[in-house]
Order: sequence, then structure tokens, then C-alpha cells
Amino acid sequence: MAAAVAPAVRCSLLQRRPLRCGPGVRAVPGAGAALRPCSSRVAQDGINKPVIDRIIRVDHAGEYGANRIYAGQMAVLGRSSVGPVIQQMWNQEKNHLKKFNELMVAYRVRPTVLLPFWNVAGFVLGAGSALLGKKGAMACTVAVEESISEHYNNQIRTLIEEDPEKYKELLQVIKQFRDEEQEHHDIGLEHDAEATPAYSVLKTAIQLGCKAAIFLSERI
Amino acid sequence: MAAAGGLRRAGWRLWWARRAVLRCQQYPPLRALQASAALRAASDEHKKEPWASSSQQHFESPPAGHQPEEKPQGPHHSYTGQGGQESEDYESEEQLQHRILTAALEFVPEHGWTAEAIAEGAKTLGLSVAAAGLFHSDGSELILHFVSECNTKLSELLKKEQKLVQLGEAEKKPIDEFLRDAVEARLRMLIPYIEKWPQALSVLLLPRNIPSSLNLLTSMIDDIWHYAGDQSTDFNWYTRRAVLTAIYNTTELVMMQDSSPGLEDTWRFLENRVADAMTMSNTATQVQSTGEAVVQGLMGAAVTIKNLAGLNQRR
Amino acid sequence: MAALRLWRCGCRALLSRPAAAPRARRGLAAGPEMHFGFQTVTEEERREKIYQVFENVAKKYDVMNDSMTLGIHRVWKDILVHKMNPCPGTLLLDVAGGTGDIAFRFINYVRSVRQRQLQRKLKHHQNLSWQEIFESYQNDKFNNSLGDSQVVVCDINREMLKVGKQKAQHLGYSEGLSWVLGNAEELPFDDDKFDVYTIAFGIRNVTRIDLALQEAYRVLKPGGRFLCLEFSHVSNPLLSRLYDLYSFQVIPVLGEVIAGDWRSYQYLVESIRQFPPQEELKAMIEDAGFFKVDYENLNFGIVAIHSGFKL
Repeated sequence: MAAAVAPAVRCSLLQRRPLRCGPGVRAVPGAGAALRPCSSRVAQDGINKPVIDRIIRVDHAGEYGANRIYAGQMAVLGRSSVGPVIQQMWNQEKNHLKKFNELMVAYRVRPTVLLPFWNVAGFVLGAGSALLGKKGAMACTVAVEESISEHYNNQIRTLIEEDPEKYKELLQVIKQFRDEEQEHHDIGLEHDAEATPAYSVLKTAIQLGCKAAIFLSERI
Repeated sequence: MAAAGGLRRAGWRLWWARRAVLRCQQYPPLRALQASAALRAASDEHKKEPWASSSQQHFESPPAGHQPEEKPQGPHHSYTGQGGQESEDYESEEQLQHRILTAALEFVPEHGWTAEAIAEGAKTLGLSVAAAGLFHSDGSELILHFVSECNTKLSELLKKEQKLVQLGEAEKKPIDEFLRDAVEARLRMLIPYIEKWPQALSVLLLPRNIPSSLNLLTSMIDDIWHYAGDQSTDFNWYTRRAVLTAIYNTTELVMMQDSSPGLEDTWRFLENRVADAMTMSNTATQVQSTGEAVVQGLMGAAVTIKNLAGLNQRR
Repeated sequence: MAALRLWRCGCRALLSRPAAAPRARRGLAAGPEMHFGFQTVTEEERREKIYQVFENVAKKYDVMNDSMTLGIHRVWKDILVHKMNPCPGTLLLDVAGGTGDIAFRFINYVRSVRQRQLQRKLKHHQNLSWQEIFESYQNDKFNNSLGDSQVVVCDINREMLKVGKQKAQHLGYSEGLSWVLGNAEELPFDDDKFDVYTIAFGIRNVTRIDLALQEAYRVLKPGGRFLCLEFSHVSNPLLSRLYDLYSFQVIPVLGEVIAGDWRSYQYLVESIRQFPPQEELKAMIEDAGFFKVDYENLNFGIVAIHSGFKL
């Protein structure tokens, strides 16, 4: 019996060292051969490109949309008493967008195809909610900022799970932005957002829209 | 007697199960390719290379395009887990396939993009012609490999040029000239295989190959724009790449049918297309600014009418 | 009389259904005791019994194949050669290839590939004179219609080889073909000799499959390919039931009627059940040292083609 065992074991013992067979290589359909004709893009320092791609793309889309929402609100309520408040929040969002534009170029991330759509939709949402009055605009702000804060928190969690050291800079940026969005959310509450008629309905609807936007922007 | 036999068989089953579990833990198979390694060792001895330069030969066919994750690790072909003193002869299946396909490229002008070319390539490496069975019989992998290699070469060329510009040793080219040169350089890589390239194009359009070939095309175009200095983050990102893709594809098709000396017609066609694209983008900018001016005018008119109608009250 | 014989063997077939779990499960070196169909025998006995089975069925082997598989075995073998996609110049070793089915198909395939090659060459030589064209065609036709390809048919059973040689003569296959008597567990060839090693419906009858795989590894050139066409396990439960029904009820009866030997065909059907399933055989092939081992199910797993490379 030992003799019978020996030959079978001998074969597997001859296979000496473990070799890498390209972990994390993107699976590409190609019948038979395990060829992976990937793009010639070099991963920068071994970061998880697909994950970072998604994060930056969706954040960029989010800040772009937020910009347009505030623009819409300003177009209607620009000369009212809450005008300066909205303007200040808008300026912060403009900074956010600038930062994400830089990150997008640095990481060579593709922007979402739906940008023109978010352009129009954001403006319409901002203007529409502002037409419901100051409280309506604030309610919209509260809903959107709450969505975005939660979304940023999820991203922070994902990045920390991956490797907090590698993504230190990105984590810092997202943390800072999340805090600022939280501020906007509190400002909105301060300005009687909850006193809007049909507040809960409005808030749920807007947050649903935000979730859909996030889902789509990550992928397309 | 029967019980003893039954026990023994149960023992065997357990042993097999354990081996199966161990194998699962090792999967994907991480094994050295002995036969090809032995072949390479034999051919290395033949060449009588000195021990010191044994590390050089692993730079011959760097698996750059396929395994970008390994690039930053440096020029290792030996993935040493324990110590570094073991011989560097082991390679993965993918690397071997890569080598076979690279060797097969020189037989393409004669045999076309077929399994025969791959078989000839395998023969030059000392392997049996049956190694062509590793790949699909229509030569898809060979073509995709070739495209991937060309893209890598282009990327390196562009990177080198960029470095020269950064060091101040070269002038920064205007965009249209940059695009023209990049597309020309990439298309020139097809010249040795130009007779059989139409066949390759048709294979690349097979439904099975479309995801991969599209992937390769888009990443190449993205590379060119990146090195051209494109920093757009809005819909322009897509417009620019779409335009360049159209330019590249049409020029490629023109090149297939070009019989002029030195392919002058093709390069002239390319120049015209790039010039068209530049004009188009200028026009687009003009249209946009015109559009903005019109909108401003309309808004002004609306405000005036509101004032006249006395509707412009402070809220 | 014949009806009585038929009825008796029908009863026996019914009684020998795989209701009771067979004892020796896998045909591996489980000591000196092995399976022969659903019986337990020693290694020596098994070899002898199998030799006798094929000695008995040799003359009717092809007819039985056709009737049992309703002619589909031809398609399976065609698919095998198609998968091999041999180019001219390939050296094939067909083990347990007794009656030469794979060998003849290989020769036909290589011949047609060669023809196409020659036609392509001629198209390029359009500016040659008629004389030159004729000469090159002559040379190639008479020296190289197979492009130096060769196939060696190896079988352990003399009777099967005899039938194969007769068939070859009858069908007109002469060049590029040789017949060798040999044991798959101990092949009479040198190392690193062949480009492709095939074993079609034969590995089931090998007593020590691991030894046969090791021998296959040994005689193949680096880069060479191992191909195995064999009955395998059907995973679809409904189909599996139908398949069992057909195998155990119809096939031994056919064996008795056509070849006058139901026991051999009973063995055949049982041995299919005893053979390792696809994944296990794949693991065994990998253990022998082959790379890129893969299998393709034909007809839902009734038959499977395993392929591996010596890299």
C-alpha cells in the first residue's frame, strides 16, 4: 500500500514553490486560455482601482448635483432672507467639487455619463423645492445632506476596511467633507426645515432619488 | 476479513478527502511548470550565459500588459516566498502562454492569425505543436495579445515623451499635433502585419471577443488623451474620447486599403480628421458662448418685462 | 430457444441492478482487491477478465458501439479530433485505440488541413510557371499528403489490434499508421516522444489509472497534450435515471443478441458506474503533472473529454 501511495504523492511533492497566478486580474471572457488582455493602465501603488474609481466617480457626481441644487435654490430664493445662508453653503459645495475634480484627474477616473442629467435634475430639484418656500428649500437641503453624510460614512468604512494607510489622503478628504455636509444638514434644521408642509413625504422622496442617483452614478 | 478491507477503504477515502481539501486550499494551482522550465534551462545552458546575467534574461518578455499588479513589484519572475536563493526558472501558465504568443507573432505574416502560427511559435520555444491547443482555434488570443502589446508600447512611448517635456528637453506639442503623432505611432505598429490585419479585425468583432477588444481600445484612447493633457471632468471627457476613437478607427480602415507609397494617403487622411475635430471643438466653444450670450439676453428681457409689469416685488 | 435465452438474461439483467451499493467504489489501488464492474476481484484477475472481455467482443466491437450508442459515438470521436485540431506534422499516440477509430479520423483531418495548406501556398505562387506548379504539387502529394504526421495505435489486446489492422486495409489507410502491442501502464516508448496522447473509451479498463497517467506524462513532449474521451457521470437526476434504465436494461440484452455475450456488456455498463466522475478524474490528471486540465461534458455528462498539457 505504501508503494501505491508513494508515486501519487511524489507527483505533488515535485511541485515546489507557490507561484502567483495573477490575483485580482480582471476576468475577461476568452474561451479556453486564461489570457487577460487588460488595459495598459498601470495601477498606482497597488491600489484597488475598481473601488477607488467608484468612490471618486459617485462623489464627484454627488458634489456636482449638490452644486446644481444650490444653484436652483439661489435662482429662486437668491434675494430672500435665506439667500446669504444658501450662498455660503453653495460656496462650500463649489470647493468640494473643485477638490473632486482634482482627485478625478489624479486617479484617472471616468466621470459618470449621467452628468448632463444630474445637471438638469439638480437644478430642477433646487428650484422646485425653493418654490415651496424657504422651509421647502431647507427641507430639501436637510434631506440631501443627510443622504450624502450617510453615503460618505459608508465610503469611509469601506476604505478603512481596505487599508487605512494606503488611502490616508482620500480618507481625510472624505471625512472633512462629511463633517461639512453634516453642518449643512444642521443649518437646514435650524432654519425650520421640519416645519414644511408634508415634510416627511418630501424628505423620503428626495432621499429615494438620492439613493437611485448614487446607485446609478457608481456604475454608469 | 471484509471488515478489515472495509476499514482500509474507509481510510483511503479519508486520505483522498484530505488531499482534496489541501488542494482546495492551494487552488488556483500554484505549481511550477517543470517541463517548460527544464526546456528553458537547457536553452539557457546552450546560450552559455554567465550566472551574473541570469537575472537579465527575465527582462526579455516582461508580462507588462497582462499583469499590471506585478509591475510595481519590480522585475521578478521568481515569486519567492521563502528566501531568494531558489532558481528563477519557474513561471506561471500565463507567462508561458505570453511567451508562446510573442513567439508566434513572427509567423503571422506567413500563416495569418491562426492556430498554425501559434503552433509554429510553440515549436520555436521547443514545445510540441500541440501547445497551440492552449488557445482558441481562431487565433483570438493571439490578436488580443498583439493589441495589448502595441498599447503597452504606445503607453511607454508617450510616457517617455512626457518625461522629456518635463525635463525641458523637448517642446510641448500642440494638441492636434500630439494626437496625430500618437495615432500615427500606434498605427505604424500594424505595418508588418498589415496584409493579415483585416482578418484580425473581423475576429476582434466576434461577439465573444468584443468585451476584451473594446476594453483594449478604450484604454488606449484614454491613455493618449491622458498624455495629451486632458483634464476634463465633465461630459467633454466622453466627447473627446469618442471623437478620437472615431478618428482612430477610420484611419485604421483607410490604412487597410491604402496602396500609396509610405502610406501617405493615410497620414494625410489622419491630419484632415484631426483638423476637423479641432475645428469642431472650436465651433462647439463658440456655439456655447453664443448660447450663453443668448440666454443672458433673454433673462435680461424677462427681468425688464417683469419690472414693466410691476411683478418684481421684494419677497 | 433464443427467446428463452433472451428471457433468462433479461432476468439476470434485472437482478443485477445497482440497487445494492457496490462495495469497492473506485478503481484505484485499494490493495490487491479491485472492482470488476460491481464485483470485487484482485488486480491480476481484473486484468485477465478485461482481456477476455475484449477478446470476446473484438470482432463485433464496432457494431456494438453503433447499436449501443445509436451511432452517436462517431460524433463523440469526431468532436475529440476536432478539439485536438492537429496540424500536419503532429505525432499522435492513440492508446487503447484497438480498432483504430481515432487514428483514422486523425488521418482524415490532417489530410484535409494539409490540402488547404497546399491550396493556400499555390494561390501565392501564382506567378510560377505551370511546370513548377505541377512539380511542387507532385512532390507534396506523394511525399507529404499528411505533412509528416504519424499516428501510433497502441493496445494491450492482440485481437483488437488485428481487427484494427484489417479495417485499415479495408478502408485504404496505409501511410502514417503503425500498430503496437503495449500496456498503457507501461508504454514501450521513449520519453518525450509524442505531441498528442489520446485514450478514447479505454482508460476505464486500465487497472492502475494513475500509472497510465504517469506514463502518458512521460511519453509526451513538453507542450504535448493529453486527451481522454470517456463515459462519465450524469448530474441531471432525470436524465441519470433514464440513462441507468437504458444502460442496465437494454445494453446487456443487445450484447447477447448481437455479440452473443451479455456478460461482457454487463461488465461494460457496470464499469462506467465505477469510473471516477469528472472532477475526480481531473484531479488525478493534475496529480500526474498536467497543467490546464479541463473537461468538456458531451450529452450532459454521458461522455466527457478531459484535456491536459505537459508544460
